[in-house]
Amino acid sequence: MINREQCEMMKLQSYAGLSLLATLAVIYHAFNSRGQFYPSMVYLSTSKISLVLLLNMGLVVMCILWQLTKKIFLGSLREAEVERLNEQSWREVMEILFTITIFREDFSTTFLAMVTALLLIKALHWLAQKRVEYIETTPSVPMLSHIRIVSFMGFLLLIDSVFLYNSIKYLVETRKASVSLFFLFEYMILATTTVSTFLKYIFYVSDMLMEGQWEKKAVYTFYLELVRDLIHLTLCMCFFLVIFVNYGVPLHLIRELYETFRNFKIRVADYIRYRNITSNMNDRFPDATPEELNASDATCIICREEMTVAKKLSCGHLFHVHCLRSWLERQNTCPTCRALVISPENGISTTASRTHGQQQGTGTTGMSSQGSTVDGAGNNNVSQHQARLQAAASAASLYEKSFVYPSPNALMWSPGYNSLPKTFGHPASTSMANTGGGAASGLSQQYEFANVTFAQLPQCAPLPSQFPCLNGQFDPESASDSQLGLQTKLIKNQIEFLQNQYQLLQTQNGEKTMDLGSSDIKGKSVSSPSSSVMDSPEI
Amino acid sequence: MASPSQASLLLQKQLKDLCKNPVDGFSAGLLDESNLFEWSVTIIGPPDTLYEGGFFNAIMSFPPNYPNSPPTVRFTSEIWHPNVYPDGKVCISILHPPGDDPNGYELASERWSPVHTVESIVLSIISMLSSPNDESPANVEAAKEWRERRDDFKKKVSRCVRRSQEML
Repeated sequence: MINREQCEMMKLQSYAGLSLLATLAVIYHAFNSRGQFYPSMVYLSTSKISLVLLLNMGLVVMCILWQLTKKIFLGSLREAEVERLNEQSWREVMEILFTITIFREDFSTTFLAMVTALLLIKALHWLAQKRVEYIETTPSVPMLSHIRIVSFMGFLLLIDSVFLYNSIKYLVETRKASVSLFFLFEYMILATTTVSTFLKYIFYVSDMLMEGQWEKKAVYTFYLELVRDLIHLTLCMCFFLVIFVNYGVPLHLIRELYETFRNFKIRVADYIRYRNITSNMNDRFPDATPEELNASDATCIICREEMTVAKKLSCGHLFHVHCLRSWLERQNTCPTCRALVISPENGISTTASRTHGQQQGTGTTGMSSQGSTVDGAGNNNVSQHQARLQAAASAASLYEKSFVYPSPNALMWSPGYNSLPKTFGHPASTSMANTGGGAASGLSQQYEFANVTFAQLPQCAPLPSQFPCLNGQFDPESASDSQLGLQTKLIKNQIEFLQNQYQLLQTQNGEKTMDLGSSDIKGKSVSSPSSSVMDSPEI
Repeated sequence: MASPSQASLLLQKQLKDLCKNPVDGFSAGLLDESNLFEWSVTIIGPPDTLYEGGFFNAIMSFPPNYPNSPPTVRFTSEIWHPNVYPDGKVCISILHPPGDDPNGYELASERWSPVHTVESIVLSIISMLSSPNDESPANVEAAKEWRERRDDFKKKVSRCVRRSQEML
């Protein structure tokens, strides 16, 4: 890498040397042949050859300045930076050529110089962005790099504002649409980019000062990017309109406009998804139990670190909360098996109108989780799903198992799935025999069972308020007490511990109607979302 | 948006694992000791394929938000393969960012997932070498040759293999 850079430096040096020689030669020739100052100046500025050589010299000076800035602030470039530079500069050159066609009336040497300067300054901006990205990802960055990048960004901002000021001044003075508009726009974009890069860098530094514990960093970065994209989009639109009104269709802007628009759209979509996911992350997914953690090897497959606390998806896979969140921001599937993660709307609808909503809730969540296994995972998973269902059925009919679900916030299907691995192997002979058959008979049947269960409790069905509803359900449940004796007492003790009485209630309810087979899972799982609202009146 | 430390911790871990338990068929290490995000991988051409005997170098660059986004893999050795762009970039579905494919060609289930590690990615690349997918070629020329003029294709590949051996 160093070699290549040295080689490039050599090339630039020899090019600069040749240009300098040529320029000197042409100047010498001018003075020699014309003799006096004024005629030689006229010659220099009219003769085509000398003009080309002088312009070339100007270009060389700019390039040298650019190299110098790069050297001071960045040192040698990394592979990725060079790549980006090459990639983007071609595109940019193309666009600038388009721009020149639009502003052809204003074409002059100054314009050419300004455009070249703009191109070089832009390149510095890309490099600054890349460098900040690099610093963010490198574990230990020497202090010098920090100082360099900060001063570099300050320097860029200064340049941006100088040019911005010049173009505004020019526009105000002439009060006429001209090429300054173009520079105004470009430097505004560049300035906002610099500011946002700088802010990003500040976020990174403060995160580092907090030793990487600043959880809000992602959120702030997210908002920062959102705002930046919004500003860019507005600027682009304004400029597009202005150019369109004054000059005609700005070809060079179409790509930029489209790109900013697309970025912004993606950002907004991300934002919405992000909100959906983070708003109820804790409620949506149950915590994994210690047993479950021990059963698997307790490694979060995303970060490969030990898990002491974990969240569990409906497919049974465990992850760290923060790992899961950062993945769900991007996609709504389980990282391991790619089963769809149940969308949050279902959870909301269930809590909204309680008893009524419960039945609907069964339908929707049932459907979605069924769908997820089908499209996400293939045969293997379907059979796993069946196994889970059976296990869940048996789990639901065992009181001891139900208190294993520790989360008061446990949602939807989760309670059913939670204890799968253990309960499946559990010698729950009788209940297994009973419920296994029911589960195997298919999901649709289970929905019916669930509905029947609700219909059997007329007290609870139409009532949106929990108190009478609970009482109504409590009575039949206490009747079943006699049948189940010790087990029920056990649960009653655990009710407090769980803070999840409603869920338990339904389990017991299901227990009573155990002969209905798997309907009890349904009942239980449906009840869980609303449980947190309902817990108070019970004990 | 994972914090940068998470990504580097994870990469560090994988590096350690790979050093301790090297996997057959490839060797991996950092391109530059101070940067965990750029790996240099040497893939040994899988036996019983056209690429047998070759030693292909590639650079794997991880994004700051790895493992939520996939790395990119680029061969630095010359390689002739339908799924490798002429500039060396590897085009396999698991390296494509999550989300819906705008072309509707790949299923979401074939794309990136955070469970992939350096090892699983390299193994996918090795399997790509042994069975090219000419349905969505990155190198159209190579795909066409592979389909229609297998002899020419073989010739080019063996030239790449030879060159890769000379470079050692």
